[in-house]
Amino acid sequence: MTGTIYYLSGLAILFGINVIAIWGLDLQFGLAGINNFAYIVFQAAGGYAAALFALKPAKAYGSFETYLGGWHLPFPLPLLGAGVIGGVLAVPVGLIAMRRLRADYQAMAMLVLSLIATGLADAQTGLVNGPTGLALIPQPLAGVFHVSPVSYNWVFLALTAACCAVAWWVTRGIARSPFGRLLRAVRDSESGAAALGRSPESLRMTALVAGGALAGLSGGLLVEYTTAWGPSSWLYPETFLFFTALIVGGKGNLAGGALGALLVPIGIVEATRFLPAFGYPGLIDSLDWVAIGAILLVFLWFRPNGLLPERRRALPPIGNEKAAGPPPVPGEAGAR
Amino acid sequence: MTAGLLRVDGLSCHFGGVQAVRDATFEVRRGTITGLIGPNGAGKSTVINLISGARRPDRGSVTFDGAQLAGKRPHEVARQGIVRTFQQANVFARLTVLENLLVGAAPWRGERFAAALGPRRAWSAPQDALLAEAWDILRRFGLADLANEYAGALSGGQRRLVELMRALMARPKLLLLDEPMAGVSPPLALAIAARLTELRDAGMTMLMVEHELRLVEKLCDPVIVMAGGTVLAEGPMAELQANQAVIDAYLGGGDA
Repeated sequence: MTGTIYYLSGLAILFGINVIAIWGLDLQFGLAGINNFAYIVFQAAGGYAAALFALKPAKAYGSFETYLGGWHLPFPLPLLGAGVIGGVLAVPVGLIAMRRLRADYQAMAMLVLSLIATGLADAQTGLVNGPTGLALIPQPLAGVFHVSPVSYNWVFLALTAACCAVAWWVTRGIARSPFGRLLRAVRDSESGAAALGRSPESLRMTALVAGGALAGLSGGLLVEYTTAWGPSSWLYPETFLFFTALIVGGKGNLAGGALGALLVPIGIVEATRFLPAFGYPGLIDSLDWVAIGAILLVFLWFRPNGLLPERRRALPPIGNEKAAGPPPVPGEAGAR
Repeated sequence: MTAGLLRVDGLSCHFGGVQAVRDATFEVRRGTITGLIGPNGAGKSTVINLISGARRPDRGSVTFDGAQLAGKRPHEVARQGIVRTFQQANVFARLTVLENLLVGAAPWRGERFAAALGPRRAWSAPQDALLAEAWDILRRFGLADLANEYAGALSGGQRRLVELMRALMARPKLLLLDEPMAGVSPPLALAIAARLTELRDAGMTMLMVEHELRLVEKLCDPVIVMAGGTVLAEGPMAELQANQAVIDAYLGGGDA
């Protein structure tokens, strides 16, 4: 019984973390139309930031890991730092991938940046302990709540829920606002938005920073929950896990993003955990990816707007109805 | 004669080996609908692209209301008060017609990122004012019934209207129209022509590329004729129809 509760509360935490990440991607991809195929790098950057801000210097653990920093900052600074680093990282990434390049090449540049980042983290052992990754990352408030792992899960779940609330506030605020409308305009027609005096570059950059901050926050939470983080956790296919979740759930729709988080990273990946073992070790994990890829393709073909599509934002009539000018244009207007 | 609002001087631009525009020089006077006509490949759309910043000129200057525009980016040109429409109707397909118009409004405080994170009232009252204006334009153009439809769901002609209405929301000093009647049914084209005349009478200045010469004759004065990237002639349509160089290059054997 305790085991089940522990498992379910852990699942709820992972769900919350994924929701934050998918909402961040929705800001970039769903609203602003940025094909950010480097999305996982933002989550990873947040993860590393939280780890390095929370860990003590390497010597404190007998130097069995080597890494930059180890500032041992108190809660909630590592988490905030994760969000800030995720947002700040968006600036160079945006400058490299989004200036001068058209959308299809932007996607390519993003993917390449993602590969470079993994390569760097792997090869540079002094940076974030190379391919082994970081371990022993302190959990937030673990010193305050002297409780069992099962009870601590509830503490962490509350923290995750609070972060989800922040992410919801940011994403919803942007999505419903005139600023969000400008992002959608740039997504639909960059030249059209520019012809009306809006800079597509700065609008996209703002969306990339805001989404990057949410990705960073989700990475920080993930690392502080699992207490370990290495390059194998953020290989480029993980980006497509988020894209699949967003496309299945419905981009441009907050509930859609949450549904996608429930169905794809939690649903598929966790459900297959209960399959009886068959084949060689690791076969089920590989089949997970096959299933995720297949689902993405099916949705792209048959339901590209997802299960909960972006809602049409109808606006109420305002102004003087009688002030209508000349009679409607014959023939065309009014006809569908 | 009123002063020139826009002056294009020695403008040149090439694509690869093709000299698309060569030393184009002309003026657009305030309160006119200036026509820009010429055969395909004459450089008309390129001139529009050069003025609006979509392309950079190799040489030459664009002076608008005393400011130098050549080399400025499209959104910077738009902020100077020049709004353009496109040869291919360019609407925000997954925004409603009304939302398209709201994006058209000149940049305002409530659309900034910071306002999105604040309370709704930070932007809702000024937006209501823009919304009233948008509804007003929609009713004038007879498109109020489609206000809350996706712009991408409209017919080609209706999209042209959306683009025009959206441009009007910006209250531009100069409107650049790249074939506003292309692919539009005759009755709708006449309706658009009537709206353009009204706008001119209200004091707006327009530069319009158009192939339908009867409409050009009706709407535009003066008319600039381009061929092979250069300005061939300029004047009232009636005068141009008697100009041998124009007839040879464009109007052909009198049946145009």
